Amino acid sequence: MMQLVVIGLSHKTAPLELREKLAVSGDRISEVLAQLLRNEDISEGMLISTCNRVEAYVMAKHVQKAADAVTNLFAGISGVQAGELSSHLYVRNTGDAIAHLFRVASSLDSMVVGETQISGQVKEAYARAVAIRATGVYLNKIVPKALNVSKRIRTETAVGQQSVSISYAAVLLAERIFGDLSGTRVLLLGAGEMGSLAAKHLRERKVGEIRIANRTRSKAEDLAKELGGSAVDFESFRERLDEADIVIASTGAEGYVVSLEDVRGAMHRRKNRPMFFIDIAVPRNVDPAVNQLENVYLYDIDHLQGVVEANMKEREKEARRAEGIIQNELEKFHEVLNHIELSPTIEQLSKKLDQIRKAEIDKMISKNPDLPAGQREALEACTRAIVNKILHDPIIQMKTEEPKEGSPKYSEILKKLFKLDSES
Amino acid sequence: MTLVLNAVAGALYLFAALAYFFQVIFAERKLGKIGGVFFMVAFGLHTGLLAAHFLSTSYPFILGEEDFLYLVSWVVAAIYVVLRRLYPLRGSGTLFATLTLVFFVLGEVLKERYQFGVTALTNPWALVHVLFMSLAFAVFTVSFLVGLTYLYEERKLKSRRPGRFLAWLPSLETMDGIHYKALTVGFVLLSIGILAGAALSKATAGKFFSDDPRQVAAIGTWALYAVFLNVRLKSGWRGRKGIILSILGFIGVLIAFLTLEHRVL
Repeated sequence: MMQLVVIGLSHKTAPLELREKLAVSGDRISEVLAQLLRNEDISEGMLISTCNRVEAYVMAKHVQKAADAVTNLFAGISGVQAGELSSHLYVRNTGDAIAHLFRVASSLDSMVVGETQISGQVKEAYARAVAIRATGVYLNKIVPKALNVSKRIRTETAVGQQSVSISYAAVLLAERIFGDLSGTRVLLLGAGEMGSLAAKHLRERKVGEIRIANRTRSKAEDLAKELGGSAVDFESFRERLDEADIVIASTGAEGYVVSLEDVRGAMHRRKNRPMFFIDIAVPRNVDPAVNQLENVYLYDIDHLQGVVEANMKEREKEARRAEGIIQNELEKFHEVLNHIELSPTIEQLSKKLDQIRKAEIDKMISKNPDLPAGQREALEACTRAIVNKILHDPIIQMKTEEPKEGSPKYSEILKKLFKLDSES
Repeated sequence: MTLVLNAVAGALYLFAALAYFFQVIFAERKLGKIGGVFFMVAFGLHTGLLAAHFLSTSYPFILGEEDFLYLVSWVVAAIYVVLRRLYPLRGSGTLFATLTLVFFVLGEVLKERYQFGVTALTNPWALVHVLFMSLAFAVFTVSFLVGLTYLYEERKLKSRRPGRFLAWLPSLETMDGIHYKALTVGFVLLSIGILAGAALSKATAGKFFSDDPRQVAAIGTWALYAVFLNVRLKSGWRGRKGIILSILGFIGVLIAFLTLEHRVL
C-alpha cells in the first residue's frame, strides 16, 4: 500500500552542527530530489531544508526501504555515517506523517512556535518538487492541504501573534503607543548586545531614525554603520533627549543615566508627546519614577519579562487550539486520502470488467457474423449498463464507509478477489 | 410593525454589545466577530427604519426630541461602522454598541418630551438646526467613546500589563488623533447648529439669543470646547489629561441635555 513517509531531523532531534552539514541549499534540492526518485521504492517526493530542519516526504510502499534510502542519501550529503545519522532521524508514516507535515507547515513544530516563515518555506519546497515533477496524486493533495491548514490556523488562532522575546516584545509595545513607527526617532544609549538587538527589530519596523550614544564613541560609530543610524555624543544626549520618541537604555553604568528631571525637561520641550523608555540594563539606567510622568512609559527588563511570560502562556493556549484544528482537519482529510487510495483500484476493476465484457461480445459476434449493426449497438449499450450497475453500489459503499479498524482495506480485498495487481 | 422592528433592532444592538463585552472578558476573538455581525445587522435594520420614517413623515421630517435621538444613535453607529474599517476598533465595540442602544432607546422613552411648535416647524432653520445638532452630538459621542478606550489602554500600558486585548485596539497615538479630530469636527458642526438655532429663534421669537436653558447650555458647551481645543493646540494638554477633561465635558453636556428643555417655540 502506498503511504506517506517522512524521514528527517529537526532542532528537536539534532544539534546545529549536524543540521548545518545536512542543509541542502535551494538550487541543489532538485538534484537531490531527482536522485531520491531514482530509487524504485519511492514514487513521489518533496524535500524541505531550513536552518532548523531537513526532511524528506516520500510516497512509498515499504516504510523501511524508503527510510533506508533516505538515510543513505542524507549520509552521502552530510558525510556522517548512516548509523550515527539515524539516531537523530525520525521516521513517521501514514496518518502520523500527514499530521507531522500539518504541524510543520503551521509552525507548531518550529523552534519559535508561531513564526511565519515556515509555511512559505514549505510552499517553496513544494514548488521545487512540482517543477521537476517529483509529486503525484498523493503529494499534490497532501501538501496543498497542509498549507491550507496552516492558513486556517493563522487566521483562527493567535498562535503567531505573541512575542516571546524581550526585544521583540518591546517593539510591539512601541507600536501599541505610537502605531506606525515610521515617523519615530530612536535613541540607543549604550552599544551593548541586547540594546542593539532591540534596535534591529525597530529598524525592521522602519523607524524614522536611529541615533546611538555610547561612552566609547568608536563603538557607537560601528553600530551606527551596522544599523544604518548615526552616532551622537554621549555627554550631550540629554540636551536632545526631547527629539527621541523611543529610548533604549543598555549602558553598563552604575546609577541612573536618565533622571526624572531629564525626562521632565524633555517632555516639556516636546509638548508632552509620548515617550517610551526601554530599560534593559542591569543595574537599571532610567529612574523608575519616570513612569509616573504623564505620557511617559517605562518598561525595565523585569516588566518586559512579565509581558513575555504572559505571551508564552497565551501562545501555549493558542497552540493547543491549533492542535485541535489539526486533529479536525486530519479526520476530514482521511476521507480524501481514502478516495485517492481507492481510485486506482476502482479504475483497475472497471477496466478488468470492461475487458471481460468486450471479450465476450467479440466472441459472440464472431459466432454470429450476420448480426445487424443496430443490434450490435444495443448489445454494447446493454452490457455496458450491466457492468456499470454491478459496480455502482460497491463503489459508493467503499467511498462512503471505511472498513472497520483492523480489517483489511477495500483496495486490498478487491485486488485479491479480482487478481488486479497481476495485470497492471 | 415599526414598533416590533424597532424592538428587534434594539435587541440586536444589545446582543452586539454583549458579544463584544464577552469577547473582552474571555479574550475570545470569535465572540468579537459575532458581535460585529449583530452590529451590522442591527445597523442595517436601523438604517431601513430611519429611511422609512423619513419617507413617511413629510417635510420638515424632524419633529422633536425623538427624531433627534433616533438620528444621533444612527450617526454614532454609522461612524463606528466606518471607523472599524479604518482601525482595529473591535475592542471598544461594547462601548459603541451600548451608547448606540442607549440613544436608540432614549428616543422611545423621551417621545412625548418635546415637539416643535407649529411656527418653528414650518421654518427651514428648524431642520438645519436639528440636523447639525444631532451630527455634532453624535461626533462628540464618538470622541467620548474613543477617549474612554484611550484611558483603558493607557492604564494597561502604564501598569505594564498590556495583555492580548490591546491587539484589538488602535495605538494610543492613533486614538488620541481620532479623539482630537472628532472634537474638531464636532465643534464645527456644533457652531453651525447653534447659528441655525439662533436664526430659528430670530424667526420665531424675534431675537437671536434668549435665556432659553438649552440655548444657554449650548453656548456654554461651545465655549468649553473652544477653550479646550485651543489649549490642546498651544500647550501640552494631550494624552490622558486632555482626554479626561473632554470626557468630563461630554458628561456635563449629556446631563444638561437630559435635564434642560427648550421653551416650546
